[in-house]
Amino acid sequence: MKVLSFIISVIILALATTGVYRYLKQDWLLYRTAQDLSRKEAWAQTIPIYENLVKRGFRTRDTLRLLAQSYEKEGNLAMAIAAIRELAVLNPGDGPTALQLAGLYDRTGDHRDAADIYYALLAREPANRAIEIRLARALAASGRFDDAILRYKAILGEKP
Amino acid sequence: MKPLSIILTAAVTFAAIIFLTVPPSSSAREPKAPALSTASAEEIPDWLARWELARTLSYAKRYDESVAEYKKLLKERPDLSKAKIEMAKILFGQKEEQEAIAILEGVDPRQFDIDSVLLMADLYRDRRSYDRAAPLYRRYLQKRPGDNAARLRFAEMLSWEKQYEESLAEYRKIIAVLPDDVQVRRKYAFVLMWSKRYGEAAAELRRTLK
Repeated sequence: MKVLSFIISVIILALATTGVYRYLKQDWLLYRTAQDLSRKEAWAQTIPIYENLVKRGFRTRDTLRLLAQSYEKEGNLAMAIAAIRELAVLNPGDGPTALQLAGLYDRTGDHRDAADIYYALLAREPANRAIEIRLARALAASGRFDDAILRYKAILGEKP
Repeated sequence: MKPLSIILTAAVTFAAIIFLTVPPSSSAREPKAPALSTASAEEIPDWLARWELARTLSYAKRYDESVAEYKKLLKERPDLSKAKIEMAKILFGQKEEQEAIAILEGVDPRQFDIDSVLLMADLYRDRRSYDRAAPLYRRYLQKRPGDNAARLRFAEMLSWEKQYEESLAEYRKIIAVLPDDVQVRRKYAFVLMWSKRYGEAAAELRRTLK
């Protein structure tokens, strides 16, 4: 009889714990559900979850990045840009976020805004050849050929 | 039994506390933002930068400088068939046809990627070598049937060669996709006229006036 009551107590405790967990850790559960969906590439389903989590202020930086990724994978670059811009506002000096934003601008054909970001990044890291070439490409793509030519010549170590 | 029960109860309670207080670990596959160091690590060889410079110079209509850069590029990478074709195209534009032809004839058409096939077809079309251009257009359109601009150039070329039936067939494919394109329909009507199908030509021209 004692054993039986012990087993029942353990089961009740386990159920109660699970219930309390689900109540206290709702955001974590949603976050992990969205990550599982991401692994299955169910981007359309992850977006409302991440949107909800961002509104609730749950791990805002990570969640914004994941939201942007979901929008990007879903092909909605405008919304991906909106999410990364929000992230860039939260992390004003964050180079990788700025670089990601510039890459998205380039993909949407907004090469002017991309070039502005590359200029700012180069001011911080003047010897970064990869950013220099991205800038040259953005300048060429936005029709600023002479500026692009100067950049390419600088990359090749040639006189303008 | 009693000590065992106490130990088990303590263990379960401890597990429950841990379960409720420690946040779940985030996934190991969480995406990371591209690091600036990633951008730094991208390999951009000089020849690629020079190729882009050569192209940009041509967009800026600085053709002589562009050709000079293409020559430097091809000295370093003589295997770049596409660069040869691009340079040949600029040379054609500069009326340096002999040099352009010499370059083109040094390129094995089997090595062309699909963009180069189109470039080559366009070049042959520009120099009125229609018999050489036609198989290249066919090859290209087989791979990219949705490129209506290329199909239109091919259809026009066929009509200049008086191959009206084949030209009309190409026009019909374009019109099926772009029924509201007045310019294409007008050109189609002219080919109908040249093939003496005046009634159909008139009907098509009437449609362009609506």
